[in-house]
Amino acid sequence: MDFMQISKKDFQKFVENLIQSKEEVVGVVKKGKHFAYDILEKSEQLCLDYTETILPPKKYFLPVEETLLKYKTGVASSYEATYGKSPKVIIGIHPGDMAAIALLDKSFSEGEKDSHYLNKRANSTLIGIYPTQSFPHRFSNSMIEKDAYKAADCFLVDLGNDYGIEVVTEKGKKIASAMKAVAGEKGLNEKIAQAKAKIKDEVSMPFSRRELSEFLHNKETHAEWKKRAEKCFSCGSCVLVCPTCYCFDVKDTVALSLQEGERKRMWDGCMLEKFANVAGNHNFRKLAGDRLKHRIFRKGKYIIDKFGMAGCVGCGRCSQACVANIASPVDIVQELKK
Amino acid sequence: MKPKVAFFDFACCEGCQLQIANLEEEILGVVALVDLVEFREVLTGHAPEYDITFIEGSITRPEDEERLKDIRKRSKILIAFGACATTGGVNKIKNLRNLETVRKEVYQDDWNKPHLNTAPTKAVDEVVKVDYYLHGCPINRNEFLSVVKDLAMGKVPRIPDYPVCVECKLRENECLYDLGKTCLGPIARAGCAAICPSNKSGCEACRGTVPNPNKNAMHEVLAKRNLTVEAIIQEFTMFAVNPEVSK
Amino acid sequence: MYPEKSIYLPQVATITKANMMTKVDRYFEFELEGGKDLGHKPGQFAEISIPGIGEAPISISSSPNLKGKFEMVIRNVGVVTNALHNLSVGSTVGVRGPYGTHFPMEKLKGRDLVFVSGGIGLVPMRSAIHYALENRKDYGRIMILFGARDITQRLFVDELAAWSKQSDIEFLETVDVGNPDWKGNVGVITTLFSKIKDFHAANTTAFVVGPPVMYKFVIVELFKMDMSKSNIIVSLERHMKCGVGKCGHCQINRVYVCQEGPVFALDAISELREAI
Repeated sequence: MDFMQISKKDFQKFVENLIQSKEEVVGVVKKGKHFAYDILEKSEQLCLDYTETILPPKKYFLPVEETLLKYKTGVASSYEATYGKSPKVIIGIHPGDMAAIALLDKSFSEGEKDSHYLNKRANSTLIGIYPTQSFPHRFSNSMIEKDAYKAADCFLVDLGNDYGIEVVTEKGKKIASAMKAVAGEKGLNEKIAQAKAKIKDEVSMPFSRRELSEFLHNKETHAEWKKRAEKCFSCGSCVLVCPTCYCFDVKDTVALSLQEGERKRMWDGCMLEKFANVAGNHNFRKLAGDRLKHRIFRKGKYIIDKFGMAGCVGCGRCSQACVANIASPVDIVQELKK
Repeated sequence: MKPKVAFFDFACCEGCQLQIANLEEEILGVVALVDLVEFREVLTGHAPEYDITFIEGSITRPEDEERLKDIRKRSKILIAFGACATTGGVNKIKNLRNLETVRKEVYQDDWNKPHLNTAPTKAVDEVVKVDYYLHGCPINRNEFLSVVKDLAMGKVPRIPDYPVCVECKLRENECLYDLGKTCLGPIARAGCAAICPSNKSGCEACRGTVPNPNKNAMHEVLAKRNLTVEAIIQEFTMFAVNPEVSK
Repeated sequence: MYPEKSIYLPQVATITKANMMTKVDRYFEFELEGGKDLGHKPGQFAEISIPGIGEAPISISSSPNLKGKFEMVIRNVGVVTNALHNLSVGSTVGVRGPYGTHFPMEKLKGRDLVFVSGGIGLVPMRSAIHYALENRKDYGRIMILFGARDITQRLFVDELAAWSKQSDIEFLETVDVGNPDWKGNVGVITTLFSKIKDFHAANTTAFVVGPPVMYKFVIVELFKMDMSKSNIIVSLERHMKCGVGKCGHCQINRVYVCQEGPVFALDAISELREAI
């Protein structure tokens, strides 16, 4: 990994030039009192000093709704695959979200390769940034280890007047040279390490991710699931804001002429009541407690066991989004520990 | 043969039918798919039988029940159309109070005249069998179009059974609870694309609730926002979400 | 552009035979374009679709040895299956697959086989039964146990009749609810087990496919007959929406049924609480 450096002013100039070059550039912007990823129209909109965005950046690779196939209604020979576009550059991804993209990369390329996701992913350069503000629900440090570096092309680290840059990939090298970043002075990597450690997580998982997987073993019948679920709305908010969730529903929609249509996939969530329904209205996860347990096991056990990567990246969005205030994985694990 | 479609209204503001009349370009697509045979708001025709009937409004008088039953007999598919029809809607607030009091309040000296007679409000399915529900106050045009397309293709229409929070999250709205407001989104039925929360206005559950709403949890959440019992009941009352108000 | 073609893009198949088997179950024979084989193994499924209506996972009912075509029996339970029922010979559909695990017929050579199916569970089971009968000398005893809710729910009635007469098959059948026209056994499927004589548990593999409620009872019965978990093979029903291990709808605990199932040895899933 190379360490480089750029002044904040020059970085903004680079972003402005990128926008002017007609490439689609996405970055973190203010949204009311919150933050969101959006297409940048001018560089001033970019806000890298943020707590957390409402939705994670996965929406650019696994859109909320995405057309997979087009067809003429009823004509099986007319099926045709369609591939959406993704931004050229995404700026400002926190390490947790970056680790989540690494997990999505793994899931969509393992076994049957999902070209709809992978095409978009290959098109984008990802510029991360280490958090400059604390977020009360974040516990990424205890979850993600080095996973963020499996997806990031480069990471920015706020050094006051400058950004330190960790250059991770060839794409990262290219973009660092495009922004005219300079090779780091002596001691830059120490300065970067110090700056990265400056913002501490306010909560933390009491286990490493491997320990968590082992801890959850045999916790399936714990009374906490049922008890906690008494307050659950099954509204799906916790999974819809989650950067590592990639479940989807598939639906056909046709034009008003009925002559042509599209097969689309859209985000879905295992916390919603009907998610595990099969024919005959039999539901394999009928109780909210079973669904809550499934979510935590998926985040804390199944994914790490299967892929060796974090199933929960500790971004804290679920805790923030849960109106009933029961979604926090840290709180749940603390209760299970008692 | 295009299916014969009719619209009828009972106690309502006819705002849901207006949504159809206002479809503009898409109305041409709709009439290409279906044969509109009865729709008082836009045309004068009548027909003896219908393939698909949309009923707007709630049922508030005994003679309306008879009229509705007659329409049902002549309809292959009957769809409750809009909040008044699907849940009783705002009209059901009346059922919370004594009927005589309500009549006096509205009609004053004339309250006892026979043509102003009124009965407790009923949703359409409290009087006749309903095949499908198009919820909302008013209905959502896109949902209407998707139901028309589904029926024209012989598909069972997909009516959302998940809460408004889903659509709100997908639009990446700021959660109103994070802005110090209240919202029935966690228990309210979706299908509206979260239009009210998207405009910073709390959801009032005009589409009724999801099939298994966690009302206790909703009470608890609202109580934590320092709402009084009266205020909580009010939150639940607008569209007959309160179990004491709905059937 | 990423070089792989879309995993959601179906092939085209034409319906070459179709007839109602019960009030709700319709039999189909399909032919892929150019008479290609689907290339499945017994127990696998495929995603069948109609453009504009949608896609649904359906078990394959024919043996891989049926060349140039494949068979399915589709129950009308939803939007897609209802639309499939309205299609007739000559119509085309989309096909993705085959997907999922299969009955390990190769590994079971020399063993006794008992096929226990309830209702529509006979549909995937039939692919394994046909395969076993086509390779009859590779296997020991072949026992087929089939239960239907009542006589109107029986599937493949001509084949059931043929199996009942075949001397190298031990065929037992029951209906849950009797009827004056029915001369056979009445009662749930577990009532058939006591009729099996000289059962050698150690040398037998059991296949179990049926409605969700059936598994527990049948498995208890098999345990009573000294069957071990490793010799019991089940096929589980879930809604495999994508078929390729992504969409999450078929997930049982850690397992994606569309990838690691639908066919499982019981010992491989006994720690999965949501499985049965």
